[in-house]
Amino acid sequence: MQIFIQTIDAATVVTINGELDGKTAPIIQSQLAQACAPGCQIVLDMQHVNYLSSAGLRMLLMLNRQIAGLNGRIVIVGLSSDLIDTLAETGFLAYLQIEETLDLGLVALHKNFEAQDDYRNNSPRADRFAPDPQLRSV
Amino acid sequence: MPSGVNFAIYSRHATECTLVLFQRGDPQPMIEIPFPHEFRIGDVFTMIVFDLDIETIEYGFRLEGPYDPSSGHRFDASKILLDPYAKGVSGRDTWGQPPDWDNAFQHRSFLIYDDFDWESDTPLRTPMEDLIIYEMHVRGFTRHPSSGSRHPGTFAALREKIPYLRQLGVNCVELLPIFEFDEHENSRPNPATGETLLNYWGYSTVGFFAPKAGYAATARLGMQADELKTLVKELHRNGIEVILDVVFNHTAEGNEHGPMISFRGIDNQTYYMLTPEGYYYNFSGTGNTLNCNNPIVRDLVCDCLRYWVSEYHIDGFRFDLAAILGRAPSGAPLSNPPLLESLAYDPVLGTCKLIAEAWDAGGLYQVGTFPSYGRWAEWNGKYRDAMRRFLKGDAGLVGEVSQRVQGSPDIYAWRGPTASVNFFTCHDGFTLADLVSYNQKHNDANGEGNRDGGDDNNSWNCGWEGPTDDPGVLALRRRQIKNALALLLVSQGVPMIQMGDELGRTQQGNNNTYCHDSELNWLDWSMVEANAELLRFARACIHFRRAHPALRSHQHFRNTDYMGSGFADITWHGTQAWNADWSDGSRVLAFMLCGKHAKGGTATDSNIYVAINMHWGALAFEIPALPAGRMWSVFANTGAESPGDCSMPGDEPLLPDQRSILVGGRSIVILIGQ
Repeated sequence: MQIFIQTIDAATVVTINGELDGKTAPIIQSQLAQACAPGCQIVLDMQHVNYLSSAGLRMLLMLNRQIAGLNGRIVIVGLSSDLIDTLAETGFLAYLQIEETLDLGLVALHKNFEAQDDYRNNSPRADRFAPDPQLRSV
Repeated sequence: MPSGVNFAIYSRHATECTLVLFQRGDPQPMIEIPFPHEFRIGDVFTMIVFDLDIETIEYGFRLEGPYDPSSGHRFDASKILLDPYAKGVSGRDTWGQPPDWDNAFQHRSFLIYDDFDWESDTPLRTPMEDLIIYEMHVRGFTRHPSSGSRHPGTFAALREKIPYLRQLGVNCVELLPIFEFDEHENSRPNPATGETLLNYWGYSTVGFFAPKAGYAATARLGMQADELKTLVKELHRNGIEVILDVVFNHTAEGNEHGPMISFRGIDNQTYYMLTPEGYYYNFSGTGNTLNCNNPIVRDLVCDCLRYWVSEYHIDGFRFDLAAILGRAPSGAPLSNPPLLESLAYDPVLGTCKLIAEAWDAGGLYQVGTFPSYGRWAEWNGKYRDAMRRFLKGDAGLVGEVSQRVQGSPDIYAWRGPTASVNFFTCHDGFTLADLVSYNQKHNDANGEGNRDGGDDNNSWNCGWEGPTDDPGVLALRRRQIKNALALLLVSQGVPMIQMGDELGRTQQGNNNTYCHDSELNWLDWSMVEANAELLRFARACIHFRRAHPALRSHQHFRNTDYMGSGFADITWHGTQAWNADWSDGSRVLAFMLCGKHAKGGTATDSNIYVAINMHWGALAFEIPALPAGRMWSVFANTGAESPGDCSMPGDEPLLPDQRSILVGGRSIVILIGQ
């Protein structure tokens, strides 16, 4: 696994090549420690990540929380549709901000912050006993 | 724990124990570490191992001890055993994939992360009387190509179909076994087609603490736990509870000829009910019987249920062959079984649903007498039998039917209707469509000469056995299905519908499809369009029940007017109002619920009148009069052609003649008075 860090438009762009699993996750975390400062803006480019394990997913989540706690922003780009599937199926997708490409990621970083709060937006619990009004036309 | 993993295993009779560690997937162990004697606490072998990569290891145990079957001991240190408390089990990661039979350690324990973010999710605590249960098989629900799922037959695919369940209106799903099991158990070729018959239903547990890997799209990453938790969370968000079908009556190890997976090699005498000569008692009909009232096994069962409630937010459990849970280690039925008592009073399980299939394969039939401690509900086999016979036109049932639709107070007098889980069909037996299409079972595809499966189906084929083009027969079958759904959903108690009954799913007359991983069992989603009329009717009935609290009482009817409304909470009628025909030859019954007595008088509702005509010809029913200013409207009439057969709540048309209605032969009419 290799990791490249560069700065583009005041954002830190971290490119990961190879596996993101229990062994490599701590390496990535320690490499990013410096970039994680209050108000930081980070793009994680994962288009060359060929394997993402359970530990890797959890690292992404922790990173997300860590950066949110610093009032920073992190966007993940370049995920394959298989990986996005996995994130959706295991419930992790809702917590992460995903964009298709690096350019879109950089654009998203500079946009308004409020969108991030949608992650935690619980849809209202369905009223268990009332008939669903949408079903009248059945 | 930080940087170390604690391994612990109980065995009263083992003399030595060794931890065996593997790199994921390797046939040979990476290292074997004997448990040092000084780390043994009582009967528990325990130690912490550091510097393990949690993601990549699998583990098992070897136990040494006596081999003396007549004393109940079957230790074999050459076998590597699965941890009974394994939170993840590997070895069957992809459903149906032929295993490497040379692998000495087939079902392996692995470690999972337990850091799932539930946010604010909790078990829903829907009152039992308000539940509408949908019994379903995880794989069968989406495996059919017509489902359009990316990962057919998985938890993830089920999650994608939640909108369908919401539209249907059910608020609870009961999942056929999802604890790890071996689908290759007893696999053999189908005599007719040559395809492989598998253990499809899964009533044969390998790992009590692990979700079945083969039901997860993300099993290749070992993330089945996260996937299942995500499913439960989403179901809860949509107001749907989750009940698990659990199998504590036996394990996948079978009798002395079966595989050694875990319990037999860990402490055979503790875990299984044994005869004095050391053979296996077989009250389950499958080879062995779990020794549930032994204190160690009792702890395992309690630990298991608590684990699923707290870690997976499960709302309740349905216990397969639950009568076994009330047997002593000698096999004798207990009047105060410690396990059932523990479960009923357990603090962590205090608000979860407990449902018993209150019989076993050893002749212990306990419907109505199951040791319930005021908590356990039962699958009411008497509801099923009486209502099926009534549906097919048997005489002499009106009295019993009047009890069943009230939630069976004759059986559950001190319990209330919520003790009674009502059903016409479940996974065992015919589908609803087949119940009205076949007089006999047709199980030849199971390869047992049609000897397996029950013969007391109380079914009627409406004039022809099996597939037919005859429009009269088909119309009658459709009407009978609607009759069954209507009866089920206006009965007090807890209704349970089988997956696909709302769509007319057929198993071609096979009433025991436990071994078919095929279209015979998979839900065909094209039926949503093809049988739209039936689906619409089913939805309407379910939503009708949800809209009317009078149908969902917590207490039995008193058959008196205790609210001073002028009507008793329930009154009985026939073709004449206020005068039911209880005679032996009667096939007709009507009842009216007074809206002011809804839920024991704690809720208000419209009046509801149900006219049931199981006679073959049309009959005029005189309708009881409502108080001034109120009128009857028609919710459903199974004798009418769609769309006149039902309406959605709020859209019911006014009844033209308020005093009388002609109910067609084998038809049901439901009115609301408001």
